[in-house]
Amino acid sequence: MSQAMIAVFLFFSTMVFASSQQSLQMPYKDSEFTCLSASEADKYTRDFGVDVRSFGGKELCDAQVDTKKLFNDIKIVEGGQFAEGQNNLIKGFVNKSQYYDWLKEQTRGIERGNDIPWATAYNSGGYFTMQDGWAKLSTLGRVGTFIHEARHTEGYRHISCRQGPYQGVSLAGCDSNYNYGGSHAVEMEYYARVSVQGINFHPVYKKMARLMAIARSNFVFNTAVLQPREAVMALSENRTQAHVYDQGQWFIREVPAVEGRLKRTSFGAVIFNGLAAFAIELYQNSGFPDAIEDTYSYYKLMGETQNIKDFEEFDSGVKRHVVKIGNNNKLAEFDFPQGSWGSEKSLPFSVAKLSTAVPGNVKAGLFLVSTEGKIFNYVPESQQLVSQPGQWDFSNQEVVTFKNQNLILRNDGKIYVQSGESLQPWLQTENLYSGLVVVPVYDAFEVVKE
Amino acid sequence: MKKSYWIFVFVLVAGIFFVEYDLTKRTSRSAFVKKNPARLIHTKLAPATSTETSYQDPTRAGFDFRFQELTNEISQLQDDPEKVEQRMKILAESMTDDDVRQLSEVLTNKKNNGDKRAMAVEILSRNQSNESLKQLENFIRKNESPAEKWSREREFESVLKAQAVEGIAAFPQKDVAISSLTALDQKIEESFLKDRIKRSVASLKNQAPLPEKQDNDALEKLVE
Ligand SMILES: [Zn+2]
Repeated sequence: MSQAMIAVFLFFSTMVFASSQQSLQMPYKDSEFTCLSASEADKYTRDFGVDVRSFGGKELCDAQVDTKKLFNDIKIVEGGQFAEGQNNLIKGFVNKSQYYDWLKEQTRGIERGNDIPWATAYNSGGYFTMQDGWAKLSTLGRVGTFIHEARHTEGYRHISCRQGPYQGVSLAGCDSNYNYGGSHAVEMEYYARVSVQGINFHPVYKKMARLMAIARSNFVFNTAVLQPREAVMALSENRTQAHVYDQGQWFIREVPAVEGRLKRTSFGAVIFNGLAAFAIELYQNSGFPDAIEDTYSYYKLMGETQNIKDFEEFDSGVKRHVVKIGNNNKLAEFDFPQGSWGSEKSLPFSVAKLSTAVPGNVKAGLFLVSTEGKIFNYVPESQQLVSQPGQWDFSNQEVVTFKNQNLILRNDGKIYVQSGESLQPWLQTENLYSGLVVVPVYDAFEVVKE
Repeated sequence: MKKSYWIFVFVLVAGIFFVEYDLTKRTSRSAFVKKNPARLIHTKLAPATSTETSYQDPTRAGFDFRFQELTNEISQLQDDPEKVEQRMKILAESMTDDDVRQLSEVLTNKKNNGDKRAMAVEILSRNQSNESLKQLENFIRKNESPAEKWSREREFESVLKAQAVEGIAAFPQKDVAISSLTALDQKIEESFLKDRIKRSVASLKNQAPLPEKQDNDALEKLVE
């Protein structure tokens, strides 16, 4: 009897213990699963001419040692698998089933050094030197760098950056576009394949590949390969409707019943009356005619102290800028980290209006037009005003850039497209308008290969 | 005789529960700051002693060991990525607020290796507690010093933050995610991150597909 009771107790207690362990236990892999075999290491060392000693000596298991990092990277390249694409005619810059062979072909030797500390790695005649920055990167970043350097062996060089974070850097660091097929494109092609077609990669490696591709598409090409999609929005002459032109089609959106100017914002468009901004719903018609004041604080803050003559939101380099011109003719920028407007600066001329484009110039920026029609480009980095050639034609009500062309709303209420020196009616629009902006659309990217 | 029998049973049951309690504590406790990370790397394991948590028995390993193990897997090919997802989920859901805060330190410390920081943001994103939301917000809001030159390392900060944005967007309460991201947008000046935030918000409001889908649709056009 007593023994039976002990047995029942033991059984019961073990059950509780086991079930509690079950919930805590994770599927487990042997602690040495990440070790490489000596023959694999020897093969990689041979194939790529790895100067093992400079990487910290032969190491098969410990990923803290740089040699093992490099071996891990090569193994990912060797064993990484990609699904077949829908269109097998597209071969890409590097054949996706031959990354290992291609890398091997382009690599005469790899060593670890720190002779050019500001670089991540460099390629000198097929000999790669991985710097301290390389060792700190993620696995994906290291593999991407390796592939990037290998493309340089084939003679592809960079040119200076005309946009993005590396603009103004003395060293040439960009490629003109994706189709050039340079080091940046080959690296990005790899990231894209890992994200879209990768079969046996770690989920975090895949996610990083996707985000790295999207980020770099803006950073390292002079023509960004993935650009935010934009639509044209025109305010009807009677100000009751917004006509939106997106992907070859027109559709109609409600406009809040308030006086004011149609302005572009980073989240769509607003009607701005000098005191407050009222949002235009871009994606749908709400069915409610009431004006809804925009909740974004930097627009709300605008009207708190004084009337505003004009404002504009634009990108320069990698930063967003919001600039306002007060009726006192002073310019101020919104300080995002502080969440408030920066100090006001007096302008040496009276400002008539702001524009994100001037006729004959499709490069984005912010332009101040004086009451005399003089045009100045505002450079936010240096907070300087750079005088531009020509005079502003005040019969141009709005000038915007859309798909590398200037669209101009003239005082006759018609929209024109500038081609060379002449103006042509845009899309044969018969309607008359009182406002024109280009708005960002956040449901897809524009893919621009060249 | 009968009395000693009951004492024996009591001691036995108490013993079992004590062992269980101790294990539960050990498996959920984190020790990032207390232990030398070098000791946590696989293969060079100290012999188990009766008083220390033995890392040779995986079920008894602490949070930091399991985290490091998951991190090491990023640099390995995976036959079954689904199982990896499972392991990340289990670890993320077992975290205490202390674990979350310590993982946040791992994430923000730029001296840490890239894989470790990427896994930190992944696990924080999957934890989906108020504390992890707060830590992700703090990380995204931390503006980089204007003096810092752009480099691959600086690019990586943007990628990590974009990953954190998606983590917030995946928060189970949509309204919380929208208001968190909208507030962040007003504090951030980096155009790339503002774009990521706007895409997430548009998707949460059913105005656009998930940013992940938008990304892959675009990338597909490059490689297919
Ligand atoms: Zn290069």
